[in-house]
Amino acid sequence: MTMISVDPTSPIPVSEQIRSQLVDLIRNGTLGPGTRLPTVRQLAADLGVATNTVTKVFAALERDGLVVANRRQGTVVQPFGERTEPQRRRALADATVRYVDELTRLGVSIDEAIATLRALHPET
Amino acid sequence: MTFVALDCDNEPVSGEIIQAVIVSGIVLGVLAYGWGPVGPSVTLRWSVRFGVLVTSAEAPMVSARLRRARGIRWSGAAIGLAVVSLPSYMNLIDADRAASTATPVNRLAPVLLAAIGAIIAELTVVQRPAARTSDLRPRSIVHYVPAHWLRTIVGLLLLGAVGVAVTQGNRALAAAVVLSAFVISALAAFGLRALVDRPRMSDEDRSIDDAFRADGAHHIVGATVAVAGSAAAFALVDVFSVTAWSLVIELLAYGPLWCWHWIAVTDRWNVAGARMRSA
Repeated sequence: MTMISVDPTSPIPVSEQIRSQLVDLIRNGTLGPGTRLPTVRQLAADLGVATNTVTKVFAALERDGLVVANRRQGTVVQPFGERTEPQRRRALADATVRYVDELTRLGVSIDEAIATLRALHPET
Repeated sequence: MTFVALDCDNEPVSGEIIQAVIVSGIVLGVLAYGWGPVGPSVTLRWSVRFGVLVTSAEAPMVSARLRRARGIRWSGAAIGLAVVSLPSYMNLIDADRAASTATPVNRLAPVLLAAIGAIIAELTVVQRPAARTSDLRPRSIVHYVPAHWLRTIVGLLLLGAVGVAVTQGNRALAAAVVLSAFVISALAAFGLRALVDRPRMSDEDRSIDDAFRADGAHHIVGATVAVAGSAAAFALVDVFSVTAWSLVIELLAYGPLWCWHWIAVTDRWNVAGARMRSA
């Protein structure tokens, strides 16, 4: 079962805890394109946070092109192909930052990473 | 042995006193039933109705919640009965009016207050988030009560509005009755929204949590159907000048009361099944 939780004792702000968990679930495909998310009020009640906090999280996810707010369906996970160009660029920038962070952690240079990418995907 | 003879002939007991005694007895009986204990058989029927397994460890919690909700609902009905039936009220409104609960307006008051009781019973549930977790499954009112009853309420309200527009009787009175049905329906919508958005219980009690929500939703919707149906019948009864049709509508006015009982007490509902159907 897909679950998210908040830890009020954590130094990480509650909104960031919720956002990062939702982003992970969307990026790893657990929440696939078209999946409906709970309403702001429901999620806020379940997590014991203010509705404003969840509203801000949903707004940030929408800005990043991960979800789309729909009056009929509520908030749904956005299919990748339907993202606008700025949203795609922002998602690419986020992914690149995470990738570079991982390379730094592994002690791998950018040139070495690019060479590895080209070797793994020669057609691109 | 000594016998004492009571002289009851000197001071005739007034009709109002008799009515007050009878009404008080009925009201106290209703309150006693509402706040009375919820036995194992009631809990078992409830668990079968909503397709949920209640363990012996959970039974006290379930029966306490059911008793509380039932008590508040029946208190609403009891207040409604007292308000329309007590002699002081009757004399306040109209000293010459027959002391009776049989008129359509009077008949509506206990139903109105029972509906308010059902809504208050859900609004006053204090449920703190168990573990500050969410399973990210959207909850919707159609998971807890059949959608056709929600459409029925809308239809009955529209029917009532049509009745007010074309009635040949007291339009102001009909409008007031139908307006009260609209107000109750708005309150019911608010109550249902609060019921759906209420924090969920722990993962172990998830099916019981769903059953509590379904039970509350059935009671709110059942009472609202009764209010909207009774109001529509009241507005429509004077639309026809032919007495036979009015008589038919008077008889049909009991239909929503039967629907109320069916929805709130008899109708079986499985939340998991409803969730799968609406997915």
